[in-house]
Amino acid sequence: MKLPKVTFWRIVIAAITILGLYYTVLRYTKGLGAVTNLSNKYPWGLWVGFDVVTGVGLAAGAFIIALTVYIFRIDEYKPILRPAILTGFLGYSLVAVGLLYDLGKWFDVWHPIVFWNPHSVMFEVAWCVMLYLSVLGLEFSTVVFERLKWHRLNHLIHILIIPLSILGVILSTLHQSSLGSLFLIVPTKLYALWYSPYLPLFFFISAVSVGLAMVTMESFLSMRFLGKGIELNLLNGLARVNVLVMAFYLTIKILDMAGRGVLGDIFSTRFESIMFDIETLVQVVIPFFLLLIPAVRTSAKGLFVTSLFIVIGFIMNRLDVAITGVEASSGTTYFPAFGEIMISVFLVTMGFLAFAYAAKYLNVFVHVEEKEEGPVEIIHDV
Amino acid sequence: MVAIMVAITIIGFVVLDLVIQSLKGKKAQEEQKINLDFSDFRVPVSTFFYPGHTWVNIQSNGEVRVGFDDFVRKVIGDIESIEFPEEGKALKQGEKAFSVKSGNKTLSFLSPVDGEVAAINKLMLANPAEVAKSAYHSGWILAVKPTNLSANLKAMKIAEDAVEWLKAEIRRFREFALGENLHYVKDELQYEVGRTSQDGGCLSEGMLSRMDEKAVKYFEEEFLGKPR
Amino acid sequence: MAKMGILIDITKCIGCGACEKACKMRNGLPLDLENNLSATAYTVVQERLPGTYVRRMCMHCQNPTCVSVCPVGAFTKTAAGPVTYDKDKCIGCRYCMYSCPFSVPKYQWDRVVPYIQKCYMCADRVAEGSEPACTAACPTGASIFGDRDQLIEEAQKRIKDNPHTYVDHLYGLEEVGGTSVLYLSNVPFEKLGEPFNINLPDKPLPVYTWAALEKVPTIVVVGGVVLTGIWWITSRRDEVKKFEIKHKEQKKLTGKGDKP
Repeated sequence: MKLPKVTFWRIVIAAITILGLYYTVLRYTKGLGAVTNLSNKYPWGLWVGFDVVTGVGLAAGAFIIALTVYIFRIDEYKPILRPAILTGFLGYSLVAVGLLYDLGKWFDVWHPIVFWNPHSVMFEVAWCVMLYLSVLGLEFSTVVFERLKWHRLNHLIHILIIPLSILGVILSTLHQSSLGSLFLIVPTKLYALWYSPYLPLFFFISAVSVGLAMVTMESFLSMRFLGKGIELNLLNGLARVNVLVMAFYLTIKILDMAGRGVLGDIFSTRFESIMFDIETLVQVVIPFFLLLIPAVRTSAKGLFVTSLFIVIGFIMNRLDVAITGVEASSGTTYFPAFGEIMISVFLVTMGFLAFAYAAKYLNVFVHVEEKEEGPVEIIHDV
Repeated sequence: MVAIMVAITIIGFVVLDLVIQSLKGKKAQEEQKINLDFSDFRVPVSTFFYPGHTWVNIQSNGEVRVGFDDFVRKVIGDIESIEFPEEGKALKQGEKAFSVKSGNKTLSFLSPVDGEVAAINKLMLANPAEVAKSAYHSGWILAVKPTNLSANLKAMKIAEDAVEWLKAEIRRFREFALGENLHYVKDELQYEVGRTSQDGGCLSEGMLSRMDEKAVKYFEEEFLGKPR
Repeated sequence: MAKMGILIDITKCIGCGACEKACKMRNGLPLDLENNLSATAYTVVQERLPGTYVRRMCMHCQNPTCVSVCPVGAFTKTAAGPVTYDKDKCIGCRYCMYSCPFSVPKYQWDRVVPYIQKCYMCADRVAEGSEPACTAACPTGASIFGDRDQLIEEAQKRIKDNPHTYVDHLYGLEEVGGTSVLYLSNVPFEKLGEPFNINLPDKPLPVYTWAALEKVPTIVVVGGVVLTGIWWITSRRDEVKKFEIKHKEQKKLTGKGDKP
């Protein structure tokens, strides 16, 4: 048997896996208190903020590309459909796994199916995520069926694909915005720059923006680690749409702050205000102006860097809302324990590995075959 | 704080990867720079190759995309700009279609098909150096509405034939760089090539920039073909 | 049954801790006195200012945040007034802890199978027509149990009769839509610390969420119709395009065929 070659990243992955498994055992045998820095004053930390709230947003690329290809029928974007759906499926699966770590009674995770509370945003998010994960599973199943040569099942999915994608888009719109609604309940706890009645709208639009950026990042990561080619012209198209999305986001954000009379707070030297400024610069302002430059928009490096900005800024935004923004009112400070961080890193690493294996054994990157109607028929003169 | 921690973690991983790549890259680059070998080339399955090192890819709307192959791209190195024909212009197989500028050198490419220019690749217009690296995908130059495709295709090679042809071209290029045409190549390159020539001669990326005008002219005529 | 409540008169509280002890005994909790509300202390008496004691406990809101946010409906606002918790339904998401404006629900962080812990106003005793353990134990009448409406009347009477003693505010009458636990104080409430210093709105907090949540059915219906419409238009467009090309080519063919 040939042993795998030892490379730097393989050592890192091995180390992360060992630590991740160690803290997993600890969490399930000793309870949340043994692994996390969570407390009665700080009941939500990194796992909710990053693994769940941020994770769902980062997986938004799948519904945007599905919308583009299946509903708008812009066939050009087909080559990035499968990687986007795979990332979405893995992303949401990781959110589900992350929940199993975070929920105190993780074995009762299925309860929202039976015990209903339609007044709860969390209930709505739970249902949407559950349903959307199934939709993504079905959308991606064609790739698996193709590999197994189960053509009949594949045909069934093919018939269902349009209703499925419409359902997927609606579900995504609902829960991406509802993740923002989660925080509507804490008007007195969340810092004024972040708390807004428009949080659902902000969450939805920034999810669209980061979804586009994530699709771009995936392409580059696949190039770097899997040696796949990149569709620069498609990524360029995504970047142009993202310019509009970001412009819209920034505009409504400023209008909202002005309307609530907190616009002046962005110049405050409070810790929260500084965090808000950094986050907004990284998430929207800098990438917006970068993408206005054609040379950036059309170069691989430029697209990678701007996407990285958007993704990091997005993550900061979600963590600010879920964690930093409520710190002052909690009367304590919170910084995740090493075990908490390791579990999050472990989950992300598993996501990367799953993606790499799926890309290796399934037909994720190869140009998808033409639609059933085939090339446009042109009859030659005889 | 948490947001900063996560942001720094991510940036840390990206930077770490860049460092590792550049460490690895330094070693590999030195080898790669000199070692332009058969194994550096891939021939895409669905693409026809024209002897003037342009390729044709038939689109589902009946148009064909035209570009230059990865071999020439590597010989040229950094591409500064492309001189496109106007949209609507009629092209003839074997006549000049577009030209590529690198440094102070300009190379003309012949059209592989008869037809009418339907579109040009705007990305190549904006950022040719980067886009051209994907020689068979994003790096297309023209979309042409062909008028005589089946006859044109007879002059082109695909799949195994294209592989054989490209291999022969690389061999020919080595001979051009090493053999009797050596006097066209500047001294600096002679040394570099000579040093590693025991195993059949190795070529470096962007060689064209180190050739003198005469050699470039020779390359253009011999490899890209003379317009009819 | 009437909506029951508890009136806590801060001026009468001497900080003896009888309520804490009674609560702990009633609920089988470790008897050591604690400084803060916790998973083992459903009520605590805190000396907020020299000689001024504040008893903290669940406020049993009229329109409780915890009841609204819990995804599995583990909390119930009972008809009698207490807000109760069903540990079997709970999944441990801790959204109730995050969102409670009074930061009342506490968690068993050290347990492998943890539950939320909070005061439930001895709902079982209340259902039997009795009163909670804490009010029964209070020696000074600082905490009294009764019909909420009557307690409000009583509190307003006390304020009216002793305007120099009490500040003119019955805490819990309107905060977040009203709470079953009411406070009277001789010190301005904002000086008493949490939760009195938080500027709580008079609107129940679930109203803020409902403003977004009520739009869900509209989004589903409108989204479904619009998306299906777009898909219909784009697929129609593709079909028409295909047909036109076919038609044109055919015409060309037949046109040529006619000529010779």
